[in-house]
Amino acid sequence: MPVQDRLVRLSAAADALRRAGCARAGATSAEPAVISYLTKVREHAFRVIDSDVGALRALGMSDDAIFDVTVAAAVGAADERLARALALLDLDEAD
Amino acid sequence: MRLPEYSVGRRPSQRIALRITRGLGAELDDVAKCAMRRPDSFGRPFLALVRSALRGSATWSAGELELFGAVVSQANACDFCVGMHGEIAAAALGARFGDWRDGRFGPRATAAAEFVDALTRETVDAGHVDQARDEGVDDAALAEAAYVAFVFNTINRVANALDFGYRSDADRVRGARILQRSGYRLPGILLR
Repeated sequence: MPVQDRLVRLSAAADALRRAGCARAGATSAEPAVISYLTKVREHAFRVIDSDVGALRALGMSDDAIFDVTVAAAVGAADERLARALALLDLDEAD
Repeated sequence: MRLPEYSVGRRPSQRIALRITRGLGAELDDVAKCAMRRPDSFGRPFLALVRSALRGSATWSAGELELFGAVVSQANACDFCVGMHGEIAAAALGARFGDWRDGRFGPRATAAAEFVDALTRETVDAGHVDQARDEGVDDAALAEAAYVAFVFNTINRVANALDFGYRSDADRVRGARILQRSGYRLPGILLR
């Protein structure tokens, strides 16, 4: 497959993940525990500990809800880096 | 795994598959369990992206693409993904993942690896692109590597936040072999 076609395919696949339910879920809560958790996931997810997830559960969040906000935050952080790369390469996802 | 509901299948067919797998002495990995639990909203689109990013390049070998994934995972301190993808890269490229910066994977792959490492750490600049170009890596090839970084910058965070792991080192090595053989495909029955 020519590389330009491959990049179009990769762009479409990345977009499908962004549009999928989990990545779109995001958190609308202003609860400090939620904000703190999402900040950790974006900036240094390896520092998340059991009590961070426990605090979300204490707010009544289900496993699915916790998974959704985790994926949404992760995709957001990944997307910022992809945009930076494509900008440096003078490419955008339409290329 | 910090989400107990994700350790059991959602549908009866999934629970049976998990039991059979365990009966054979293996364990489906935590990414696969999440994909199975949320097939529409995560599993299928994520695995399709993984297959697109880690296979089918005319520029990079599958081993080199796995190397970029392991480098991003190392930058994100994701032991789960380093263990899996460092293993696959090492098997494919014939060198231990470890200190990849010493050039053991060749100048082109090392320059692209430096690029995705800096991208992940948010220290990337035009100098990394110039360095890669000097080693013969064109911009489209770097863009391919950037999509691998997109995959791993996503899943490393999920794996770290939700504490993905293996039951044993044997499970890790076996899982790496299965991923390499299956090309990141799960049986359709598990993704319904």
